[in-house]
Amino acid sequence: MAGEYLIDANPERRERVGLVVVHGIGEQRRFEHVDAQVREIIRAIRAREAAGGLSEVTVEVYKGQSASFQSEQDTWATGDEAPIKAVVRDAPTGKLLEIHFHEVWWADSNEPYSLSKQVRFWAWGLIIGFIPMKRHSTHAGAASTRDPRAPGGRTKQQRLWVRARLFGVSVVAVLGAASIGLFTFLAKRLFNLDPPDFVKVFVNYVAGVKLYNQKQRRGSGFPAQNADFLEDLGEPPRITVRRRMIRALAQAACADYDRWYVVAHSLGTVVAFNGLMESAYTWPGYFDEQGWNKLVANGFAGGAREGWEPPEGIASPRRPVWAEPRHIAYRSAVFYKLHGVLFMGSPLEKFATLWPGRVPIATEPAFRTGTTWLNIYDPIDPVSGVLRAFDTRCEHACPQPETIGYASDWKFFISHIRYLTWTPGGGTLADGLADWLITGTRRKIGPEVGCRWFRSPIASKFAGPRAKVNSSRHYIRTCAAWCWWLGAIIVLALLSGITLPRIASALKATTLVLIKDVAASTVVDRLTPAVREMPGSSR
Amino acid sequence: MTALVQYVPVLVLHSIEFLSAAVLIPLVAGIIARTFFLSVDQDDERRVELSDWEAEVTHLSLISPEPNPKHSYSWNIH
Repeated sequence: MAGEYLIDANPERRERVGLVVVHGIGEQRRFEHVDAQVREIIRAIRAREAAGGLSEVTVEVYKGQSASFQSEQDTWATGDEAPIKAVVRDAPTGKLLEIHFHEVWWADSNEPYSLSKQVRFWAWGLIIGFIPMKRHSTHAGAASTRDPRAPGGRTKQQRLWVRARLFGVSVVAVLGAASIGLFTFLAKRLFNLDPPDFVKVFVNYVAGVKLYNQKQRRGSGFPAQNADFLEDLGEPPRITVRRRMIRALAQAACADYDRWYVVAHSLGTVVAFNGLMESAYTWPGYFDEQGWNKLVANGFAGGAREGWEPPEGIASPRRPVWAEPRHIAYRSAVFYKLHGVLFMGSPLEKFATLWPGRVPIATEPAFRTGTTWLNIYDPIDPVSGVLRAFDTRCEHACPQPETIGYASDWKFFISHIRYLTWTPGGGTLADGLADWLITGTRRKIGPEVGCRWFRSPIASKFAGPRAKVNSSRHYIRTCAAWCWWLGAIIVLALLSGITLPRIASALKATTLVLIKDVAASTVVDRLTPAVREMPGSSR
Repeated sequence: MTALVQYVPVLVLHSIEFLSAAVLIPLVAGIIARTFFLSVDQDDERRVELSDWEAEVTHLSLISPEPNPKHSYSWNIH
């Protein structure tokens, strides 16, 4: 069996596939996310069997040319090529192919954790239900985009319902901070324990959403100083994030894969969507001169067609000084080999409802017919949702999204991080993605695949051609999600009821003792010299 | 056991108090913020009606600025 597919002897048989992985909110370290995701995909590939034979995978990690003295971890390469390559000999299809994994890493653009960040975060978290709607950008380049129109946010009542739910999140956050937060604080200070700092994790995770809506990145201290990255000075921090995405897209295009894919999770889906929809005119602003010249040399950028005029006004990011006025990215060339996009646990619909200006849809055609956009959601995952605002008027400008339900996990919030977790037996999303990468068909990502998959009834209009599926699982899991929310509120309220009165009475008692001590010592201090100076007092 | 039975109503009362506080704090903060600081989007001072704005942004360019766009080629695998 092996002789037929000798890698070196028959290299022309290798198909080259690229995968751009985008992480979501969190504190991921460099390559942490891609490492975790690739593991699941590799497990799924190795489980593919045919006629008793299993598929084989060899993983190669490109190491850096240098490493820090006495560093604890080795360095991975971060050049123009993907840091991870998997050579696959697939048993069911007999194919031999290379899968190259790129990572879009932007976690470092988060603000450093500090008291100042916490104060700003909680101020924002308390009023999130009241923040005005973010409409279409007025920057140059935005003229070739349009805002999504969320069906769930068209009338005042619908928008009020969305805001009411956001307000509910604020309430739960306050309860959580007053119960779990204080509990953690006391456990640390009184008992010298080291429990997980839930508040820190929560702040750092959700602050990614806040960051995406900020005008500038801030550091620590009061008042917090500007902490924009040098290359993005004066630009919103989301520009820094998009820069990473767009450069990764360009990398994948320049690698000349036979086909390539984007897999994004959580807030990373917003990052990926922004990157895919960014207008051709604004692309130069995301590159350095050398990188842009490389795109031009490879035919992915250059002068615009006759008759096209650059939009007026200031672009965001600003046009580089070195950029030719009529130079644009040839997005149709960049995305020519882009075969599919897979979103997991995406908050895109929530953005489309509240801040449509943050997730504009391109109106410039760039995608080929057959470019697939899949959105995987689980009702128990509070971040995810059915995509209904992105009804496509032109599939070349924005592929039509297909939303598919997937039972990720029964546990609240845990379901958000277990989409790509592989388990033996087949039928997982990891199996489906592995099959998509190998065969190019998404036949194993769909509601008919297995017991974990289902179709949302509210997505039926947007469900694509394969919508005839029982969606009772959607309702069951939606009910389960509401039960989780209700349970969380009750537990947190009870926990607050136990913790806060004790802390309040302890604080009261401590304060009284402190006041008495201070008062007594002051009286003694004042009286002592007078007593000493009294006639007859001994010195 | 008696102490526990006596404690449960107190706990429930405390919990309801804190639940009310957790509702009131973001509500008051939100109303104050919306009234004084967030009456309009600070990045966008346009004060057009939503319907006008929607009409404004539904234009379609749909013409590529590229000299030789390649998007018309179709994928033959699905």
